[in-house]
Formats: sequence, structure tokens, C-alpha cells
Amino acid sequence: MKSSPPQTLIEDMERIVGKKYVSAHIFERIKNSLDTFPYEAERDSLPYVVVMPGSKEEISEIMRYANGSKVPVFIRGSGTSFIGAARYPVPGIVLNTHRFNAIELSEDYGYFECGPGCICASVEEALKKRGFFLPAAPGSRLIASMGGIISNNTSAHIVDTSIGKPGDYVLGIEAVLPTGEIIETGTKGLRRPAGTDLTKFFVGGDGLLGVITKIRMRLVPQFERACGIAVYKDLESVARAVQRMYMERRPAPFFMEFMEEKVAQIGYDLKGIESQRGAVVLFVTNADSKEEAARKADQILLSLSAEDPFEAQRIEDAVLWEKLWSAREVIGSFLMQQSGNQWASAEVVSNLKDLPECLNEAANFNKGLPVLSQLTSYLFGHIGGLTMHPGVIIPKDWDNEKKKKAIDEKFQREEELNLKYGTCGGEWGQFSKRTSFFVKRYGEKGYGLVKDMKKVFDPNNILNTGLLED
Amino acid sequence: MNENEIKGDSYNKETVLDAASRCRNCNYCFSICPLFQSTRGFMSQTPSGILQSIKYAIKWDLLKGNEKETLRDLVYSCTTCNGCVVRCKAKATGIPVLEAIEAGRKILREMMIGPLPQQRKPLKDLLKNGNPYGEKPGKRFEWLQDLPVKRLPQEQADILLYVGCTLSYDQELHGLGRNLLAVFDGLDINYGVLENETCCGDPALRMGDEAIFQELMNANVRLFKEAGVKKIVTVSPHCFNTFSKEYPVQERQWSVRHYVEFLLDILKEKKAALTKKLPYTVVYHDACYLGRHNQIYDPPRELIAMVPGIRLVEMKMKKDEALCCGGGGGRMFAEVEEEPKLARTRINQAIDADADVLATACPWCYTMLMNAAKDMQATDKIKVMDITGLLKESMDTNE
Repeated sequence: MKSSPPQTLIEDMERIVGKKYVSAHIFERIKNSLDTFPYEAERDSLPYVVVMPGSKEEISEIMRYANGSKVPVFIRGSGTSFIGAARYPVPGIVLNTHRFNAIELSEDYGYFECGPGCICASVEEALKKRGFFLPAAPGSRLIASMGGIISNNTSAHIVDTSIGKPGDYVLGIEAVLPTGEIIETGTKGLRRPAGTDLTKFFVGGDGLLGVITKIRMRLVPQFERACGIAVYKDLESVARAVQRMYMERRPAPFFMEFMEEKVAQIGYDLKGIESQRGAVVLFVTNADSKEEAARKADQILLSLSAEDPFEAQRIEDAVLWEKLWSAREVIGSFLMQQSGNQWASAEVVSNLKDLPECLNEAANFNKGLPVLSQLTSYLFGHIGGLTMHPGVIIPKDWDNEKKKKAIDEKFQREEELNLKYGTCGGEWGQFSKRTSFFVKRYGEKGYGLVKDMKKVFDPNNILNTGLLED
Repeated sequence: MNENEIKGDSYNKETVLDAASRCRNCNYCFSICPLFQSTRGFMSQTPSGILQSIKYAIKWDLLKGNEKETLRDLVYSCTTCNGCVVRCKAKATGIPVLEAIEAGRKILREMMIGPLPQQRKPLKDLLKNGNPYGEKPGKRFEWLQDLPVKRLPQEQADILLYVGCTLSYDQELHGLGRNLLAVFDGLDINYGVLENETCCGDPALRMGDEAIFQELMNANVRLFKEAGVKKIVTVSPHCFNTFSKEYPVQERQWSVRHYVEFLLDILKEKKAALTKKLPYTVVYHDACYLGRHNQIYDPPRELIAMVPGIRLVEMKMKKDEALCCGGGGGRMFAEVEEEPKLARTRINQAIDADADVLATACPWCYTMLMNAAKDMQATDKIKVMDITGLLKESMDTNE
């Protein structure tokens, strides 16, 4: 949908949210049109205006207005999407959720409520102070907004088989529908509804069906942790060790990361770690007591040790563990800083049975792709979640079209692999750049159902227009 | 290129475009940016937002358009606290965000778009009077006329105490200056001040005027040479940073230190000089140009902790994550949007740390925080002091 905005759009927005919460200057519009993709902003798709409502009633009025004048509305948290959801294909109103940043713990109810504009790290901190934790751990925790996390239903680096996804803890939400009505879903109790629960349309709803204005989540007590490492001669051994862990019914790790040898070496060198060369698996277990967490780790190590590792052990030295863990965390930024260029990665997810083959293909991610094959591929990921992030460093000096081609090839290969293994992305959302995958994976009928559902909620396709293709 | 040469428009544009081309818009810099925290939260009011704004202003020819003043207001709103640089280095692409923003200021200044209207007079005053406050050069040391302080080059001294403009011309800070001199005297330091001291040039640089900076720098270098200066100790972290990083290496025939490091070394040898126990719980506010710009985090804390009786505590945001007071980057000379006021937030953080003294080591931080405490009517809850005040009180010296 591409429309001309009403001439009084900005004044109308100022009337709804107040002048100080409307910005229509070109620089704000440019910044709101950019995401983590390495290519340029496009002048003809800049938003018309950025608004920062402070209440659900204001959002309601904006949505009614947008419906009446057929102007698209794009919800924006921190704009950190990796799949193009924060890069709008047509102009419209950007609805920034920044002011929805309140967090309230209600221990007597057993839940907390927060606004979609709350930053993940702030919520973590507020919960931690009272002995609770947030069941989501994105790499972008310092800036990722809760609205984005819940709309994607991403536990991010946490292994889903351990504690599930954030949606498993969401008791209910408050949302404004694209047509302006305000609804509340779910419960204030601690049991999520059995049967139909409207919450599910919004949690993991890719922002298609409404603007989340409040999130209610169960309080989850902090737990104790144990940590471990295993180092292997190759990726196939890593894959077989993880298969064993699941098939031998070991406790699911809370985190389980891996790095191919060359990536691990970069991280180790950076952090001054002297260790056996090889493909590295790092994991964390969680439990009510240190002893139980250690017992779980030992159980996992029984499986990891059966695939002939150079080493497989628990790590009890907190300083060493911090170094090892941060060696994994700094890889992307180091590669960018070393080259002066930008990182881009894919999200390849395997099924359990084919993990060795899938891991091998992820290690050769760029093979045969005209543009990406010109670049070195780096591989790491959340192997406990059977997730791999093959990445490349895209030269900043490439022209815009070549950068776009590189990103398109990345999604193309990701699509091929996830289709082949019958999986889908588990972290970053399903549409925008991944719409083609969705159609192939779930068929025209499946995609049609999503579009039909969108139509029920959003008859004029006002909200996050372009996430679904017409 | 000669290091002493003014870098031109094309160099500044290239600096911006190169940094912006490496910026991934991951927005991690938002999370530490005081500007983002003290404005309404629009994305252009952030480090990467400002960077991208300058980039597209260059690429889309917006420097001549009707939004050039909007761009100016964005670019000059940065406190230059360097938090974005630290965060980007730790978490992202490690680009020189601040260098690019300051290159943007130079571009705007060159085109007469910058600085902010309220900053124009201080810039003119820098050129005319050698200080940004519109005061006559001859008034600079009126506050210490009754004190037996050596004047260079007429007299000789081991150390040049570079007082700086703010301490010299702001009456509210003269007490701080007297404390510092009392400490120096109490420690038998052979020091003097420079008779014709002129501004180090930091405000000119921060406001994007490289030509005025060069004038001031050349004047200072000449004065230092004439006086045979070998060692400089500064009161302000901004002067310290300017002398140690912005003056060309080939001109530096002297060493420069901020007073916290200088006094720390001396007091390690003369700890007995700190005689009086002070029953204070003290929290230290990291000045951006000591901390994030120069990684001087521990010396001020060590210095405070040397004072007998003091209990040193920490605020929520400290060291490389410390919140800026809001006074850097030329903002001392202009009213910029700030709600909540950064200095007020900092006062609240100090109170939350259960401190009864908030210690600073920067005249601008002191001014910002002191004014905030007064505005908040919180002076009964938290006392803002420069570290020199604590030292002086403990040394129990007589002026």
C-alpha cells in the first residue's frame, strides 16, 4: 500500500500525542528507516512522521486515524530486527514505543507487567534485584525492547528445550487493535488459559495483529548455574555429541553455544586464553541448587565425552569461565573492528537427526552463491538449540546493490537449508525478508491463512504494512 | 598532513562518511548515551542517529536545505562524553563515533551553520579575550592576588599549575581554587601559574571551530616555551585532555597531568599530611574527560580513599558507564533540551548510594552538580565537593 498522507497529518498527530512527542524532521525519519542491513536508506520510503504516544488511548486514536486516512503505521521499539522488519517498504507513521517503559513487579500476584518500550536489560535488572530472572537472553539485551522480544517470542540464546520461550511465561497482554479497539487477553492468575487464548495471536505475532501496550509475565525465581566445556577435532563430533545429549535423555542445558575452530581461536586469542585448538562447545546448566546444576552438567558431560573430545569438563573457575564466555560474545564485534566492515549472519536451524549434515552445510554456507562466495564464512551459534549463525563480513566499500545482493543471498541460502531440514528460524521472526520461506515451508494455503487472519484484525492492512506481501 | 594543520572540509566529510559506512545501526550506543536518556527518546537524538544525520545531510545535500538548523541542534546537543565510543568498541563495530560527530561540527561551523546561537558569543570571546566568559584577560588571576603564588615566567617553578578559565572567572569556584592552592602549599610543591594564561582551546574544538582552537593553542605553546615549562598540572580534565591529546606531539616539550594523578603520587609519599579524620561517606562522580576519554578511573578513588575516616561508596553508573553531568561538548554555553536534567539524575544516584558527599575532579562537573543540588534543594542530603576540598579539610591547613 502506498498512499498520500493527509496534508494535516503532522498537526493531527500533534493533537493526539502532543507536539513534543511528534517529530517530522528528515533526520528523525531517516534514522527510523534504517536497520542492521548494510545498505542505504531510500528517500521514497522514509516515514512521514515519528510519533511517541504515551497511553493506549493515544495509540487507539492514532490507529483509528490511520484507518480512516489509510496511512500505514509501523511499530518501532529499538529497530534491531535482523530480518528487515524495521526497514519499512512504504512511507507511513512510525509509532515509537519508547514511552511505554514502566515495569511493575507484583509479587503478591506472582507476575510482573511491563510496557513494550522497556529495554530487556532494564527488565532483567529490575527482576534480578528481587531474585527473579527474565526468560529471554538476546545478544542485543542492552537495547532490545520487550515489545520486540514478545512479538518475536524469542528466548534468543537460551535453549528452548530448557525453559521454553518467553510466551510460555506470558500470562496476558493488553493491545490496541489496528482498528483502534483496546483489548486485554489472558489472565491475572498464574495458570495460562486452557483452550482459546487471544494472547497467542500477539505473542510471536510478528506485530501483524495489534500494538502491544502491556505485557504480563509470570515471575520466575533466579537459579543456580554450572558451566562446562568440550573441545572437539571437528564439527561433526560437535554435532554427534549434541545428538547424544538429547538421545541419551540428558538434562537440557540452559545455554549451549559452539564455535568452529577458527572462530574459537579468534576469541581465545583476544581474551588471552591458552587452550586446546578445536571446535568448542560451551554450556550452562540451571537448577535450584549449585549441587543440582553441577549434577546436570556432569550428566551432559557424559554424553559430550563419548564423542572423543580433546577435553570435556566442568569449569569452576569463574574468571576462566568469564573469559571463555566473552570469547564467544566478542567474535562478531571483533571481526567487524578488525576489518572495518559490517557483520551479517543467517539463522540456520537443524532437526536433531540431521544435525551433522546440517552443521556441515552451515559451515559451507557461502558455497556456490555468486556474491557471498567471495567472502569468508564464520560459524558459531546456539548448538543446544540446534541453531547456527553462519556469518560474513560485508565490505563497506561494496556498492549498495552488491550489499543488497549479499543480504538476499543470505536469506536465500538460509531458506534452502531450513526447508531442507524441515525447520524454521527460532529467534528472529518469520516475515519481511523471510516471507518467501514461509510460503514454501507452509504452502500458499498456510500463508493465505495468515493473510486472512491479518485481514480480520486489520482490514485495511494498516499495521506494519509490507511485512506480508500482497 | 602536518598534525598542526587545520583539517579541511573534505577530510571532515570523509571522517563522517567512513564512520557512518561502518555503523551497523545496532543502536547499542543508545543504552549509554546521556543525550538519549535526557531527551524524549527520538532516535536521531542518539550517537548513531546524529552520525547518520550528518552522513545523509552530506549525501543528500541537506546542508543547504531548510532543515540545516535542525541538523545543527542535533549535532551540537551531544555532550561528547565518549560513552558511545566505549560501548561501540565493547559491543559493536568500534567506530570513532565522537570523532565523526565532531567532524560534523567542524563542517557545520565551516558553513556558518554552527555553533548553536548561544555558543557564538563564547566563541568570539575566546578569540578576543582568551576565555569563553567574556571576561578581560587581566581579571584572570584577580582571585589569587592576595596569595603568594609564583607567576611564570617572571618567577621560576617546577610545576606550572594550569588553572583554566572556569576556576579563574567563576566566583563560585574560587573556594575550590583556594583549596587546591592550600593543598599544594601544604605539600611543599614548587609551583606557579602562567602570568598570561589563556584558554586551552577545548571549548573552541568542542564547538567545531578549529581556527580559534589553533590560535589559542599557538598562544599557549608560545607561552609555555617562553616560560620554559616542563611539567603542567591541570585543574580541569578538559584542559588535561586538550594538552595531552589535541596539541601536536612535536609541540609538547612538557608533560601534563591532571591534579588527581599528580597529588596521588605525592600523597603516597606524604600520607601523613592527611591528619584529620573526615566522617564522610563519599561517592565519586567520574568526569568524562578523565574517565572515558583518558581511562583515569582509579586514581581519584585512591586519592579519596587515602583520607582517613572516609568511606568510599559507588553509584549505580560508574567508571566507563558513568553518567555525564551534561556540561561537556560546549553545552556549558547553551541551553539544550534536557529532561530530566542529567546533573539532577546524578544527584539522585549519589543520594541513592547513601553518600553524604559527592566528590568531583572537574570544575564543570562541580558547577553542574552543585547547581543541580541547589535547584533540587538537596544540599542538606548531599554535599558537592571537589576532591581538593576533602584533601584540604583533612590536611587542616591554614590558607
